[in-house]
Amino acid sequence: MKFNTLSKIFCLAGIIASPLSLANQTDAGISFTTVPDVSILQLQAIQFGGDMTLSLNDTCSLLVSAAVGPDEVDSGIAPNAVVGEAATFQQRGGSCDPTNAVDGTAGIYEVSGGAGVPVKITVNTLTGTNFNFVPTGAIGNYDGANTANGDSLQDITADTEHTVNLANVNDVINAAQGGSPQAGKTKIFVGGTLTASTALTAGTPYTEQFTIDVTY
Amino acid sequence: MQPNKTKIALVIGALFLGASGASNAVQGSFDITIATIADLNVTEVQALSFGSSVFTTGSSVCNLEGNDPLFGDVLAEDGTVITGATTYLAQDTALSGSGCAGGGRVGIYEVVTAGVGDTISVTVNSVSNADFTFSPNSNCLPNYLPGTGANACLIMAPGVPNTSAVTGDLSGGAGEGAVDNTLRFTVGGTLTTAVGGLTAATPYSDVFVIDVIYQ
Repeated sequence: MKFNTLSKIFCLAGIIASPLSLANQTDAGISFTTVPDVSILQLQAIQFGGDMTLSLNDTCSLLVSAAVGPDEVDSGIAPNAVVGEAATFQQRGGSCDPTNAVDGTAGIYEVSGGAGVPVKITVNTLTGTNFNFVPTGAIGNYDGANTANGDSLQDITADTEHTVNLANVNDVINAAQGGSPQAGKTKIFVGGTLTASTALTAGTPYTEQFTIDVTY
Repeated sequence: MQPNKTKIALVIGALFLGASGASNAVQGSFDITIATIADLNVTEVQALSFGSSVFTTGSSVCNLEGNDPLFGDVLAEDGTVITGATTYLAQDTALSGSGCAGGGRVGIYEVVTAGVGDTISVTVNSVSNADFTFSPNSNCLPNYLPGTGANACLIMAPGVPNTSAVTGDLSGGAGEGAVDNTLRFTVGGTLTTAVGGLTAATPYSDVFVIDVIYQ
């Protein structure tokens, strides 16, 4: 009996000393989600009109910028505002008729990606077969805040990387701007100057392609 | 033979005394009890998250600040950083680094010990898988000390044990708000995407290990 009692005491002491009762190992979770791929969609093709003169080095400018237009209202910085798209013609200059107010539309391109995520946008110059093109324009830049007036248009400089924020879920703009931002989106408005690099042929449509780079 | 007879006689004598001598000797049996110290348990108060805007580029880095020096150094029971007005609980913390945008949530964990002033050791371990590596290198392990102003926020190196005194330091000052026997600590750190990159618009998750032990 004595031996047995001693044996139990030793056993208890062994449990107390065991580190298993004093320690804990816990699996803690870590998680995240990757951004969706960024994409760009043409909403409206850039179009310089139908009255370009024919000589080498003649130019036609489509005036698109934050200052000249479309302004924050007409730009549809709130993407569901239709003003600024399709029916609005931009002012022109150079060797195309500036008095013709019903010709020439800005290129409008929609960028989609992660809500509130910054993207880098570069609108590139073009050296084409019949004409060259130096873009100007403006990009919607969202502040991600639920207060008015924080969103703005950022002017485009050709061949230069511009960083803007896509609209966030909480973005709110001034009611006068006519709509609600769409989370994860912004718009690019493109005009610029086109210069004939060859003598052009009368009554002939000319088309070239320029590029816009978008990356996170 | 003679020695054997003597031995037998002595044994018989002892048995006789044991059976009949209640007035000469007694043996009682009494309980002795002891309880083991309570297990240490780690409770997840808020899960660690790097948000929803991690870029897919391989080998890119995203940092989640888990120890904001601007807001003091001690976490109270409710996750508030004592000496500042900001709370980590249910609050996004801005991410930094080229591999992400937006905000994340620091992990908040709670340990309840058996007694006031117990000292425990906490180890937060890294995790690595085919998609990403997480190094918990930005965190706050409060070390409560009696009195005011002496509490400290220890930044734990991944995989290295750190000791902390757990006490209800309710004497005001920097420790005000702490709860007896309760320790909360935060975990942030660095997320690094695998060389091969990630898939867009995809959730990723894993677990990292936290070890706690009495000192």
